[in-house]
Amino acid sequence: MSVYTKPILRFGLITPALFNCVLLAGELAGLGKLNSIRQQKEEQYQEQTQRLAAMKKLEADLAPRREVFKGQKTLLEADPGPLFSRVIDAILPKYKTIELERSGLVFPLDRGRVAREVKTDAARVKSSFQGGMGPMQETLLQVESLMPQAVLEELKLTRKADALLTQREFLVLEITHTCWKAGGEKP
Amino acid sequence: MLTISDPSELKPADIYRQACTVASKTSRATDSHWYRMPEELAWQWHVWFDGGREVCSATYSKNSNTWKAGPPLPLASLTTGEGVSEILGELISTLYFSEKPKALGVVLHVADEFTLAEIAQASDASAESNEDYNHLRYNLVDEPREVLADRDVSTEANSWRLLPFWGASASQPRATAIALSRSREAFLQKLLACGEAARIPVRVTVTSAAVECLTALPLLKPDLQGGLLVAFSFYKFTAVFALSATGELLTARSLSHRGGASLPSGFGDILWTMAVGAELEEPRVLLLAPREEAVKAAAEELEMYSMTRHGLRVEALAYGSVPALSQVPGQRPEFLSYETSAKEPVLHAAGGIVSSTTYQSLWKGWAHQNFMDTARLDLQYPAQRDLKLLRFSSWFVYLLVFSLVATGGYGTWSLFSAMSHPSWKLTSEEMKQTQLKHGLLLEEKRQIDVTENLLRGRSKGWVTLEFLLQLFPEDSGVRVETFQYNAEAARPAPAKAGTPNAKSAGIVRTWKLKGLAKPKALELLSTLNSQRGLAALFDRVAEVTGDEMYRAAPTRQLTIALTQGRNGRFDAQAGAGQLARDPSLAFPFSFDATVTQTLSERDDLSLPLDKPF
Repeated sequence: MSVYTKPILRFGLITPALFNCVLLAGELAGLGKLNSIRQQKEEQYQEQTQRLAAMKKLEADLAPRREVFKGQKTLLEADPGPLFSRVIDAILPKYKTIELERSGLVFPLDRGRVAREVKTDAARVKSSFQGGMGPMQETLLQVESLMPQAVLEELKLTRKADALLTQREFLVLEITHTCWKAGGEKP
Repeated sequence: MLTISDPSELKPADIYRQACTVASKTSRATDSHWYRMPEELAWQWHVWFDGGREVCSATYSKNSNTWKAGPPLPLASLTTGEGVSEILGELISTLYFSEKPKALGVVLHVADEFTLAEIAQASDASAESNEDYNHLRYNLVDEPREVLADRDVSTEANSWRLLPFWGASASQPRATAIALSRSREAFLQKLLACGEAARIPVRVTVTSAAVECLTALPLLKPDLQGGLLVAFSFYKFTAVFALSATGELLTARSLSHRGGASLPSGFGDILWTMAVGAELEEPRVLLLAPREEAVKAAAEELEMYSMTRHGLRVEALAYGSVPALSQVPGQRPEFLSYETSAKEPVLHAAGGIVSSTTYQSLWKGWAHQNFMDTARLDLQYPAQRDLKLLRFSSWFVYLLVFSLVATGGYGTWSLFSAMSHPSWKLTSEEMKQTQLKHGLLLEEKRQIDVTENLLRGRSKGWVTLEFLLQLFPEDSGVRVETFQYNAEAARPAPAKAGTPNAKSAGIVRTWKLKGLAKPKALELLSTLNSQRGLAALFDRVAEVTGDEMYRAAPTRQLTIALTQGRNGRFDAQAGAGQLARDPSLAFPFSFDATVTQTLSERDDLSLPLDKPF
């Protein structure tokens, strides 16, 4: 080993190698950080892109349904008792008393057996009719078509004859509807 | 011009800088010729001078083993160093060699002096073997004052090299030191500097012509037998060597020529004394000189001495008559020992003086001892190994720098690439906004879905009446007395740990019928009282009304409980008037049926528990 060997090793090999290694380590650390940020941003971008695509698809799905929903919302926001009454009042004049006659309309306060497990607010309407089978079915069809929020909870059909025999045997119908409505939690 | 400092006086950083300078400004890092001895190089320039007016210059091409007369060199140039670069320019052309020299070995044969100096007693006594001689040889080079008997010598003016007397007895001096003046080193230094500037390896050596003549003796006179004195006549002195009968060197003397004489005064007496000292029987003298006339004159003088004083058998030889020198420029025997073709036969010869230790040693390097301390000069430069290490380190650093630049470039490209990607411009605020909008849309969808689901027809009054009509059509022979329908939500099963709460509840629907039947209706009741008949009824109702609640599904279950009995009021003899008042008199049978439909919470039309909004 000559007098030159150690200085060459020290200044020509070790020092520049160390210096370069430190710089290289710095560069690699920076590169790692950059890659990490880049990956994070790209993941976020991908998430954003997917979300926008999902929103676009969702929007396409919802757009044609909004109008219907608006109507449904209006129905649910309306008080079902008066609405039911108005619909019946509008239908009954079409029939003679012997064909169909409303004998009662009450609004029970309890939730009934249909709405007891459901969080949606509901109101019950109990109505009684007497008359023939056909008018009864027609009336119910019209009421339930106009009020899709009405769910039949109970229906009772019995035969009854006039005590004074002034008229033939007729049917008595007692119906209870549970009507969904918008509002707070169930009581 | 490259200035080299002694590395032992430099700081490590300066040493490294000097090594870099040498590597970049000279060809030492790439040319191995820099690290070879001059006599090993293929292209050699031999300069011989004896102090006369002429300087003998010759070139030797080792590969082709050919000698040529070299470029003329004025005697003054040897001292002043003038015109050295021009001479070097000529030498490295194809003028003197068959191919352009890649390096040049310069051998300066000093024939104008042959001074012998006594070795100190202690050193001399310790020299017994070749190994001891080698030890003494290097001590004499490094510390001449420690080895020489005379310690008041000038190392700046002279240099010494050892000449062992391989055949000397214990009572005689075992070695002597040959001294040469260092006055010609300036010329050689200039030559070295010019070579370095031209990036041509120039290697130099200064040798003693007298020792080289002694070495070439077996080539000059191959049949020579030992036990004689050999006298080489030069311009300024005569060198006399005593050889034993086996050819070993016993002693040597340098005899100066005085007053322009071609022989030293009292030459015969001196030779006689040497012969006696060397204990030679029948003293023989071989006298060698360049010119025939000088040889004859000297021989005559010695023969006269032999006749008048002591008997000496004198043999004279002029170089001109030696066949081996015919091709050598200037017919200098000193040049012979550099010929490749001459060396091998001598080293492997058997018998004669050639096989003696003296000649074997002389031919193996003792004859070509360099009087110029070029080894010390070489030490100032990095060794070939150091320059290789430096080159390796440079490549290593280049590699690291390349990695650094490549990584940096890749990093820049990555940054540019990342910045040009749309993701780089996406802000967290934009993401929040999108997330919010998405959340709103999802909530809207949930509301719509729940609302739509909630409002699906699950239990309709008009369908229930239609069910009754489908069950017992007109004239079916059945009179329904009471009919009751109930719908209720089933209680959801309590959620198990770790499972989400139920989102819907099942529905239980019950149809209760009481009535009377004629015999023709019994088959209808019988059909109803079976799963198939009941399912057919429900399917029919679904078809007629379009109510999906009546469709059969794996999540739906239908059951029926039917009891039949006899009608207590039945009167087979009843007349039309009685029947008009009480139609039940016409029916012999009574029945009581309960139909139950159970929809599980997994059913498509199960009741959603969530609020729509």
